[in-house]
Amino acid sequence: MNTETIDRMVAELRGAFPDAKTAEDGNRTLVRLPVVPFPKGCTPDETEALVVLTPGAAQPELYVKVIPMRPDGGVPRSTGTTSVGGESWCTFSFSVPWDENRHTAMQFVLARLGRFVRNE
Amino acid sequence: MSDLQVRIPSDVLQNLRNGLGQAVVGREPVLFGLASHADTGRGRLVLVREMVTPPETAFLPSAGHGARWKGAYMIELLNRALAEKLGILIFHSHGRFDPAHGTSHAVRLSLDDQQSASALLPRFQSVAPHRPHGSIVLAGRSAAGVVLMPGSRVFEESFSTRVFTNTMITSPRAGTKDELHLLERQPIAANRIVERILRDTTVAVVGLSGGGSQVVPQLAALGIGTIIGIDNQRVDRGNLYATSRLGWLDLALRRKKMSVAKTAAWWVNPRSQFIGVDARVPQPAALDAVKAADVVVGCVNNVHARSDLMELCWRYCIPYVDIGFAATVNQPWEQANQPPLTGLPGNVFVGVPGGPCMWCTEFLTKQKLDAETEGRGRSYLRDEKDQDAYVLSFNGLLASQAVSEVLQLLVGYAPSGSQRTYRRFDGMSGSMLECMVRRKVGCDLCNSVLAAGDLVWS
Repeated sequence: MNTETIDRMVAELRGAFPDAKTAEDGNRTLVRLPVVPFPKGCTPDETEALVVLTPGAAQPELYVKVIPMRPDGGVPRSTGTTSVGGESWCTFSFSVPWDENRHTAMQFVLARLGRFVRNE
Repeated sequence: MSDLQVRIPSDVLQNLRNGLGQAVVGREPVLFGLASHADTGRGRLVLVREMVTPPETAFLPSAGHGARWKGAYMIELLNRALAEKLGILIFHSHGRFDPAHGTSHAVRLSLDDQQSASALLPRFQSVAPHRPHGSIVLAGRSAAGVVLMPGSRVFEESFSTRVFTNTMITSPRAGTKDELHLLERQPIAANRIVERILRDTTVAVVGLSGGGSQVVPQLAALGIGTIIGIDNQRVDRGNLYATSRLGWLDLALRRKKMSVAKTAAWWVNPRSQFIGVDARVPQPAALDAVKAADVVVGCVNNVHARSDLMELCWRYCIPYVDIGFAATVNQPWEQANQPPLTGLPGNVFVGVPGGPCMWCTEFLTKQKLDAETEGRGRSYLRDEKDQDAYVLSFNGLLASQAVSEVLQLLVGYAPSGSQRTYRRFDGMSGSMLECMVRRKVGCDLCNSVLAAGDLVWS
């Protein structure tokens, strides 16, 4: 990702989430989204999320505060915990490609969260 | 004493001492520290990230012995602080500053210093409101001054300072002149001042298995006031080969390692408070516990946890002692042809903020992190069940060395110039080899995370 993409992502996220806050951590830009919705049927139905934008990285990173139960009641596989900026966040696997020249920030966030609908 | 503490990493301290030690004509030396801050739950920290020595051209002639600098320079510095989201601390000295060996005579801000701080600090805060600003005077072992924290208009005069060399020196240090002299001459002698230092310290031990279960009772025996034990596992059969501190009854009762450690600490020293944290790094409760510690001892079994601990300790300027041990074979243990034992390597790493980190020593590398998850990222990190092996004595040796390093950090028994960063243990020969390491110039952790403190969200 180049700096133009990062700036665009930040602007799009701020536009879509008016309560979003940003912070710099080294050369990374972090965007904190107080409330993002999980796909319908998940429990809980929403969470706090963090988007990490690193210059030169292949794609953004998305972390959530809690891992939800799937709509079918199952527990998602391949999840973990990590520390970002001294704070604990949940990680999860995904298989969604992202193209910085085509996809918007919202498409990124929703596509990633969409994996919680699938049994994976 | 208030909960506010100013922490200065070793490299920044060196710059501060060099700057204050310079002979200048017509004024006293003044340096500016760029600082972040944090709230750890146990206390508030001001973390000095960088020391800026103003050029001679920044100063104006001064009638008295103090110093005056140009408004243009101040604006330039403020702009930099604002861009980097840092605060400004003004440092100067009233006599030689020597945190380890200086006189214990208390220093105070002069009336001029106080008036200057009253005028300047609110202005700094109006430009850069999200970080602390202050004025600090140093002399001998003492520090005094005022700090203006974000969101507050109160000038806080009560704070401690913590500086790092190859030890950790916290001031003010309570003690008579004779006691301080005794501490310098006989730092491991059992006496009131050493007892006080140990009692006033909180050590977090992360991982309570082979290494950690042996570290905890030794820390309690030293008289460490508070030991935070972080582990969420129960005793399993494999642990019985790895430590003498987890036994058959603990296994039979399916005890939590945290509970066993608490009992062990109590048996040794009931005055040592043990706080158990039923979590793993980097879960929230574990991170909060680590941030609250004065020293962290890592006895973990994966590279990701070490990376998390290293990052956290650097961010909040906490010394980090890491131990690890492995019995290696050149093929998987379970293979039918019973591959031979090839090595018994171990490590003792001591990270003092401002010195080399585990990335500088290449103990941590991206390749090692990727290897742990087969390149698929944190979501695929799993506990691996190792072959049970009789490693308890090796763990015991490393655990004892870790406790020695904690003691060195607190009382400084080793020569002041000695480097204690990275030792390799060879279980085959029973030897410990000191490896000379340097901080890497381009190290991301040291350059971006050291003393970064809490993030500023806007």
